[in-house]
Amino acid sequence: MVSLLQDVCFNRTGKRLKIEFRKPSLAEFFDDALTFRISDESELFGIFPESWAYLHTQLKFRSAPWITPEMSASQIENIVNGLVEKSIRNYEIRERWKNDDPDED
Amino acid sequence: MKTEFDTRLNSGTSNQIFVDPILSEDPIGPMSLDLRLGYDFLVSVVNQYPSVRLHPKHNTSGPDSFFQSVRRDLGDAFLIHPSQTVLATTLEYIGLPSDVYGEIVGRNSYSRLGMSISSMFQPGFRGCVSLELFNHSNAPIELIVGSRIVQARFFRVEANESHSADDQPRKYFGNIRPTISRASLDDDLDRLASRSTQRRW
Repeated sequence: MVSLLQDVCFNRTGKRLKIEFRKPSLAEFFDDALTFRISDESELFGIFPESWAYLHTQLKFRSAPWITPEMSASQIENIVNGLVEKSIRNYEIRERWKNDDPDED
Repeated sequence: MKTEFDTRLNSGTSNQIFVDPILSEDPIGPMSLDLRLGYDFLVSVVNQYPSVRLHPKHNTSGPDSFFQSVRRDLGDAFLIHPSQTVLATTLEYIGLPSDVYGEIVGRNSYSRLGMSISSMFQPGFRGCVSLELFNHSNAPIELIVGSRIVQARFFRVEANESHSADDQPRKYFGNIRPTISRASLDDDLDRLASRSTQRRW
């Protein structure tokens, strides 16, 4: 089935189906409660599965240094969600700024 | 010659001053950095309650009922009316090491328009810096999202602070949008209320 789908896609578009996203190493940044600087679209899409995995690890093991003993699961979720949201937003802002720069023309 | 601030800015080391995004090199000075206005706002509004009440039992007229959330996009205008308080944040997400604290001052160009902006952030801070904006003039002022509105100055401190698990809980850690005052969550309010004879508690 997969090979059939691949053949149809290739015949119609000249491209094969493949995983386009790349999972970034979030822990180095998120463990320090810092945003991750997404460098391209493949990382932009890869941040979703990776951050989901990171959140579950922190809810289970509470290993990030910023997690205090009294911090609730909901607070951990809020902080990780904020880091993901701001990482994505900062990538978008950087791209828009670069594309709007008159000196780049 | 590179200053200590230059060396630490986004160095990737444990003592770095982390700022993301930096859209251009213009706002970076020898020991300071211009920061931009973010896109989320909490705007003060008038409602049917006579005052902001901080006791937790008065949650219907607490600080959150006096603010309304508003979002704009990069480059959009945001109007701040005379005598209006607006909570905003910097566009940049900041991470401070344990031996640096920062002070926020409004840029002179905005002070001359009648804008007052105040804030500070402690060692180990993580998040978008909260900005309390107030329009002292008698005319509405149009602010542009993403414009350089404040200057952050950084100072090294001797005693190391950190955001580790041993710390006291921080009310605003990791915030990326403006947060309504959490003064009503202060522990000592209940204690003070129990000593008051006024019925308003």
